[in-house]
Amino acid sequence: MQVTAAEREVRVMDRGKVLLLCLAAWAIPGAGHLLQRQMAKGLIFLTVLPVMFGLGLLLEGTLFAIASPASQSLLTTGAALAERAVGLPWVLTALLGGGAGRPVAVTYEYGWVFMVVAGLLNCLVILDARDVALGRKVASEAE
Amino acid sequence: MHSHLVMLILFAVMVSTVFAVLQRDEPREQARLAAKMALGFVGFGLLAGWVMLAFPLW
Repeated sequence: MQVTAAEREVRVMDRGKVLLLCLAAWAIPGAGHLLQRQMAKGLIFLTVLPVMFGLGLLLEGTLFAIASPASQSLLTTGAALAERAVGLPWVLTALLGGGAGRPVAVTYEYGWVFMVVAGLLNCLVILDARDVALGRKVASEAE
Repeated sequence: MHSHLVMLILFAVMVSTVFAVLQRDEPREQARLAAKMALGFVGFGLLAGWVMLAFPLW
């Protein structure tokens, strides 16, 4: 089947929009759903994920470096990537110099687990928003 | 906030909420699934903690 230039242009534009949507969903947890008018879902993600990351900071969790002499382990690099997946909360924390962490604190392990899991959950949220945008998942909400 | 149980419950509630909202569309179904998963998380955490009593660090 031949694809006309107009159709090809529409597809490319759609892909571009989906990419922008994913970038927005990464930067602001829940934005991907909010932009697709899934208000309830978007607001829940927008609340829960930053709160989870913030709790991790309160529990003296740390912002892991992707590669540093202190973190030679691949697992640590994975944790560093996962933390970055939460988007704006990570960026703000890094810019404000937070997330130093205190490994001797009782809650240190809990803290970084909260932060890493917030990032991993945001990955799932981004994928969900992408699936809805591509029509692979039916958006049942019309809010 | 140094209570392990409180942290376990907070973690369970937040993760369960996100999973339930991703997997269900109706608010009532979301709440039911989130409650089930949160209870599962907490129950399994307590059970695992109890089992680990038999395996001291030394």
